[in-house]
Amino acid sequence: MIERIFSVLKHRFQILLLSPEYPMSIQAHIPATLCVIHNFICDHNPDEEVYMDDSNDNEHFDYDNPEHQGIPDDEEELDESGSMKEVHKHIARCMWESYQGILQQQASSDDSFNDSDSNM
Amino acid sequence: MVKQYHLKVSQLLSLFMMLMSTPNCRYFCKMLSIFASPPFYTNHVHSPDDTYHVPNKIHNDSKLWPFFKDTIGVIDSSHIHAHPPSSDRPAYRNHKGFVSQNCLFACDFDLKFSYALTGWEGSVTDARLYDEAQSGGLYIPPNKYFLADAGFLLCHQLLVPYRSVRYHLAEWGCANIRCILFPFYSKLSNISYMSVDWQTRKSCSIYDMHLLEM
Repeated sequence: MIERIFSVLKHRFQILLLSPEYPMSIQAHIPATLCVIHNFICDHNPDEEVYMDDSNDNEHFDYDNPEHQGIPDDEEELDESGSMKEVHKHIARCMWESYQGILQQQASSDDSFNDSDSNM
Repeated sequence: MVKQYHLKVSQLLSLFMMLMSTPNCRYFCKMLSIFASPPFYTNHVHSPDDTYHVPNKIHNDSKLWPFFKDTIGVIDSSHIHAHPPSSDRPAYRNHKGFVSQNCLFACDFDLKFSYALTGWEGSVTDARLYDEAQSGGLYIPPNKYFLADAGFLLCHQLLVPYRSVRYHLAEWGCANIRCILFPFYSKLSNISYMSVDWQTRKSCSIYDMHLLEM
């Protein structure tokens, strides 16, 4: 999905496809300059053309893209990240418990709704 | 000038760049150098410091808070088309098959860039770029971390998704505790992509004008 977004944008804005024939040192400056210009516009005119729609955020991220790029898949090989793995597990556990709580609430509300239906 | 002619900042920038690049590309290159180097660059693109506060976007969302309270932004790389000398071209050919430079961007939740590392060969991996960024000025406050995708390593400053896990709650019936993290993770991660998209949109007018003048 992400690749699709990028390809759409790069087709729309031909400069990113044309790759101007400047020396590489100049070409390397172009994305950095765009970052600065982006931040500059955000700083000085924050209300300008806000079109971002994050209502469908969950659909945009493509987890399965083949960008592992030679990174070891086995997490056990990453010894130095032990503490970060704990953070990772902790966040997942907290969110899981929160999600289970929401599910139980929904189930109980459904039950009460069904009960009221049957009583009627 | 903005009030008098109702020009937006992006239009003013476009006009300025067009005027400056009219005689030849020499001034355009000079302007690129000025924009991409201190003090202009450091004034507008700066990494989060120790006084970083969690934005309201996360704080007010019960699905994100307090799980992502230590997250300071999103980091990801993007391939930008490049035109290197023919002798260097094999190194700039990326895994997708085209010649590009691999650029690493970090942005915060206000949709502003906090770091950019550009000019690396397209064949360089994301993890390598991150290593270079760490040694090249990317500061991450202690006990804080960026969100990243699976191309990066799980380390102290990066939170990546679980590998080999199907992250689709509805389709897979929440069969795994690891599934729970991803929908909200991706909700935050997409800020990075939207920001890059916005950058390219904003820049188009400037560079289209420039090319027309050439």
